[in-house]
Amino acid sequence: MSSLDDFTPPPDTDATGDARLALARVWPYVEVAVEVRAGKLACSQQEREELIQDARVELLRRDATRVDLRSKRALGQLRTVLMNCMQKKSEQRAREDGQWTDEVPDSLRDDLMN
Amino acid sequence: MGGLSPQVLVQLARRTVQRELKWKPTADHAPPIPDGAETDDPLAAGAPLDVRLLQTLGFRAYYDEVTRTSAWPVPLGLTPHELASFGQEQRVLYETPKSGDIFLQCGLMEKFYVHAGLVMTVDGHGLFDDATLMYQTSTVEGDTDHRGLLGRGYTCKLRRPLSPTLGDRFLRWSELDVAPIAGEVA
Repeated sequence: MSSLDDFTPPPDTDATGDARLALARVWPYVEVAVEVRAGKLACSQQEREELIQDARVELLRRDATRVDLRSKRALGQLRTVLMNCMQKKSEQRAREDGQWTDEVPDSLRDDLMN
Repeated sequence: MGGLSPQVLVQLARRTVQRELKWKPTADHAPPIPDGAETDDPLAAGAPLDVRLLQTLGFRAYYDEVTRTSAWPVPLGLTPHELASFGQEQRVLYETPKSGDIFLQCGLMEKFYVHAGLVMTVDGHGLFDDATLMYQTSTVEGDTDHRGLLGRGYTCKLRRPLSPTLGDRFLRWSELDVAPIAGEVA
């Protein structure tokens, strides 16, 4: 991970910066946590990669420039946001695939009734 | 009394930032109190770097050489969050950007404004994932870098998405009455 002080001014032209570039700068701060979480949630390599992609899209949506990289608290909040997003997406996919249901299984219902 | 034309500020920002200030440390050209301003308020020098650039440009854009006062109507020394409170009190805080507005960028989690800059142009808008409204803007900002990150110390011209759905707001200072508040600054 590179340090925070490595500002490289763009060339002395009419160049305009772009806030979307912040995604690539912020991603390394959360990458390991996202990959570990995706590995725990996913049943397959493909699902793991989809969850990591979901986290990247969520970071793009949330706009990485809102995260103060000098603040450990802000980075912790960002990790929490991305973890929650992956959890939600994982549950959503499981529900769509029929692996996860809001209905109480019959066996459990019988146990509870008895 | 009416407000000021925001395009005077936009044109000054375009000229000065493009020619002199772009990619240079904001602290070098945005003093705590703008050059020529006089104030007895000890808190007036307390603005963070991003706001210091705005008040420097604003003060200069509406400076009258004859009276040696500026008609810039926004109080000095406020943080982005205090600017939002001020805008709300004055009923000039909006969810839709216009050229010349001061944008107030909301932080990630809390409803707290962490950064401010000047909207030069609004280039379009659209929905991200069917739910998040995004405005694509061109901005001039202090204390950032060419990626738009917080607290990086440089004055930049950026393309920046801003979203009222994510909490961003726009201070339409040009709707403020000029005379009463200008008296406090000069």
